[in-house]
Amino acid sequence: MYQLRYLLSFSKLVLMSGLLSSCVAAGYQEFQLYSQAYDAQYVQADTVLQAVGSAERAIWTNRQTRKNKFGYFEPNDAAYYIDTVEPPKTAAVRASLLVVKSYNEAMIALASGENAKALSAKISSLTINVASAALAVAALTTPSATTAPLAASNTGKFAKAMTGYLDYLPFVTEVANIASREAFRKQLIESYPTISNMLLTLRNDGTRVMYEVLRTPGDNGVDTPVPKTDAGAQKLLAGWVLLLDKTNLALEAAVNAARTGSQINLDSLSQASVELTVLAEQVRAAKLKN
Amino acid sequence: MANDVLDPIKELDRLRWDAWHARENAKAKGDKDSAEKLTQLLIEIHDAREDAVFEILGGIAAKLADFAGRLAKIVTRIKSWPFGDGGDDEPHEQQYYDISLPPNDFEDQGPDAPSVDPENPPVGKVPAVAKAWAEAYQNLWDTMDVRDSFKSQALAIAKKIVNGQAKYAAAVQGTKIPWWFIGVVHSMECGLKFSTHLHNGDPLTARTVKYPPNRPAIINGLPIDWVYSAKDAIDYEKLKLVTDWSLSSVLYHWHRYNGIDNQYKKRQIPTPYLWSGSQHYVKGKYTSDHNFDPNAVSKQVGAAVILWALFEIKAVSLGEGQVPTAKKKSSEPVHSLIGNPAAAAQHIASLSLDLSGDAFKHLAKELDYPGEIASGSKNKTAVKRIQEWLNLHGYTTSIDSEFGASTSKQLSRFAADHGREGIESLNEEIWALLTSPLRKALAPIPAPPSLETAVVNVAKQHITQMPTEVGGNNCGPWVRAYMLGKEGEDWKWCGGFVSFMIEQAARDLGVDIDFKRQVGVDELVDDAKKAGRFIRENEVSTPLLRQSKLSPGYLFVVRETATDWTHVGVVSSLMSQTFDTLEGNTGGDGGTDGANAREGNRSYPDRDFIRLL
Repeated sequence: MYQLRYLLSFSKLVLMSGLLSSCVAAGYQEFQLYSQAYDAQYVQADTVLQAVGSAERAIWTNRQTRKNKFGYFEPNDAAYYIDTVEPPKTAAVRASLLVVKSYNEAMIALASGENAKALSAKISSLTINVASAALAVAALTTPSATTAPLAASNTGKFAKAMTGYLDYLPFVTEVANIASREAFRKQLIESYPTISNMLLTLRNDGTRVMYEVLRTPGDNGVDTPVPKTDAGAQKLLAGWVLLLDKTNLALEAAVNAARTGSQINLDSLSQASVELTVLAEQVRAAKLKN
Repeated sequence: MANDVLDPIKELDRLRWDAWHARENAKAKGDKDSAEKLTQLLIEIHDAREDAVFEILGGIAAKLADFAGRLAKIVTRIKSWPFGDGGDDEPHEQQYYDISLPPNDFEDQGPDAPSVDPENPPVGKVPAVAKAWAEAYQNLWDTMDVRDSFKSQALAIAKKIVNGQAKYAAAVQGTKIPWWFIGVVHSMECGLKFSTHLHNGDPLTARTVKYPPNRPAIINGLPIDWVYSAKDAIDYEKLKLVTDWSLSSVLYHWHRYNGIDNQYKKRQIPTPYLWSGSQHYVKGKYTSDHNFDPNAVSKQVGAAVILWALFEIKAVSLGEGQVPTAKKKSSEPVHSLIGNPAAAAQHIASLSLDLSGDAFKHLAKELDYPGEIASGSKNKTAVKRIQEWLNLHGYTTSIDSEFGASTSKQLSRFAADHGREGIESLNEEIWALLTSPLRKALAPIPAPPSLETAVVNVAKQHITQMPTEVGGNNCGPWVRAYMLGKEGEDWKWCGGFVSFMIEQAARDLGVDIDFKRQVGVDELVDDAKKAGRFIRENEVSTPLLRQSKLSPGYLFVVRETATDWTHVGVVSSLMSQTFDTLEGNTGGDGGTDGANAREGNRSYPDRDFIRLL
């Protein structure tokens, strides 16, 4: 359900954005699609990691009979003793996925001008503070100063000049926006290999290892010549892989757009977001069946 | 044999399959004894599989955490935009300028010459060092002793300058100004902060306030881009037309940046802007743009001392065949100072590579600059190398030795993404950037405690650069590096990879070892057997024996039959049921001959080992 909500709201965003001016960072719209795709895969990842966490704990418990047969308390294994705490290896995977989430949010803030707005707000408050401070100091140090003479004094003129600079603030905000969009584009190109390699490691190696983790607790190694297939685990991971693939493709598209500085192609973005919606719905339906 | 993350598990599953069917056969024959033993074996295989799954999950988590760590640093940087990561809070000593100096101060004729008559110099006049000043600078440089207390600070500054090379290169693009010249000015005026104006260290959130005020005259917005402001500073200081970058000229231009005919000259104090940190400067400095205090002491590292440090780390050198010493007595003019093009990679350790040994001589062909290569070039070897490296960096183009439109476009994109706009042909810096992964892999490692540790560290250093085939099976610069220049379908390179790691480790340890380079795995095994360095699988059949008899840095070999070994790699860490590896010619989806060098994990069955010594 969450996946659907993300994706439908994004589709609206794409259409609305097309009506506004095209002053957006190259790759920004594509990056938003990637970010939404990432959030969608994270919903599935969360389900997977819950299952992997339980399996990890089950394997640890079973190993204790061999690795710690006298049952000594191992502080490094503290997370395994408490059922409500995620076991450490699964927790580490989740933490890594959350760092990517925070990266996505930071990049969107950069590209959408939130950093620039914060900068302008800072300049604005500093300017006002300096003007107020000047007037306050003058009021304290000038005996029996009244409002009118204070305003006409040099300090008053200075304070007025300072707050007069605030007239330029919209200009400052706009050029800061332009600078932050360029910073977004460059940062996206620079950080792409790290995120792409991470997603590929997760997809190619991580899911395969997690499948083995999921099917190990139910296997005693003696009754059958091979470990039993766990169809439920396969579906769970398959859904995640499909969403990861879409995420990776969307990221690649964002980087290519950033590299070439190409204009937004609203049609293909809308199409991509529809495909993502359909896939997420299929994955959700598969989960419900199980 | 390919290195698949599930390899250890797959092997155990194959063992289980065989054992289970053998047990069923035994049961069918009524052989209870054998059946029981096989059941016990199945339990042991199950336990080993469970352990392997557990450990490999931990390996995956660690790998993802490594990526996440790098990403977290990027997030910090993004969130603090535009002010950088705010991490560098070292106080910077303000440089003051005597604002009573005339606009033609740069025409000063020498340390003992009278002050120039103040006037506005002609617009196009290029400042040039006067003879008397040139002699004074040369003499001070030749007799300079860097104070011990300043040496480590000077070296740290020099390294930071190299780390910021891309920005300096962008600021000087289109001029003959050396990037390192601007780097030293950046240290003197800004404490190496990219949030301040090169003119005088004022913050980039507004035009300059202190001298020279209200620069740049035209801005595109706030905050002002550092490179944009630096170009303005270069323009303002009339550096654009300077072509003489000899030592005395360099010192002169730094000197005039801070002013020449000031109290330092009047009081015969070698200016601390150049000489602080050496025995030439003792005390006296400006404490504001108006006031000189004869007893105040500058704590800043002077520009000449930073230049000494740049020589020390090989970021700058004299012209061909000359190595400068701070104690040179000769009064002959020195050649131009030249920035090391390898600094474009912003990697200190690879500024100077020792490729003199027999094992490395072939690398000169891979790394030497082939000259300016442009569209239509007939130098097919050079063009092919450019195309290979473009592909390795992700800028795909055909590797056909023809410098056509696609190669030109991708080269331009590569250059632009590295801060060099408008590049259409190869230059020294672009070549250094293209080949930087190989240079970084070849950089000397810090002195390790043993040969085995050195081999592991060297192999990790290579794998960090992601060696990959390109242009065909077993082809490309990485393969040629490991295989003494050879490449092609028949040149499998796992043996070449490990041999090269050992050769580089021995180079960095400064030792000669009795280990013959072999590219064939069977030959490596033969050599090891003859020298008593071969360790069979059955000698390390238990976790205790593995921990006792094996060591990270040893080689592992994959045994196909009793007389045939098909793959070799380096052991990087040992665990009870598996060991981590560093391997070349591996990776991919299956089969031998993978395209990469990378980390992996293997189980012990069908593996033998080779000790290095």
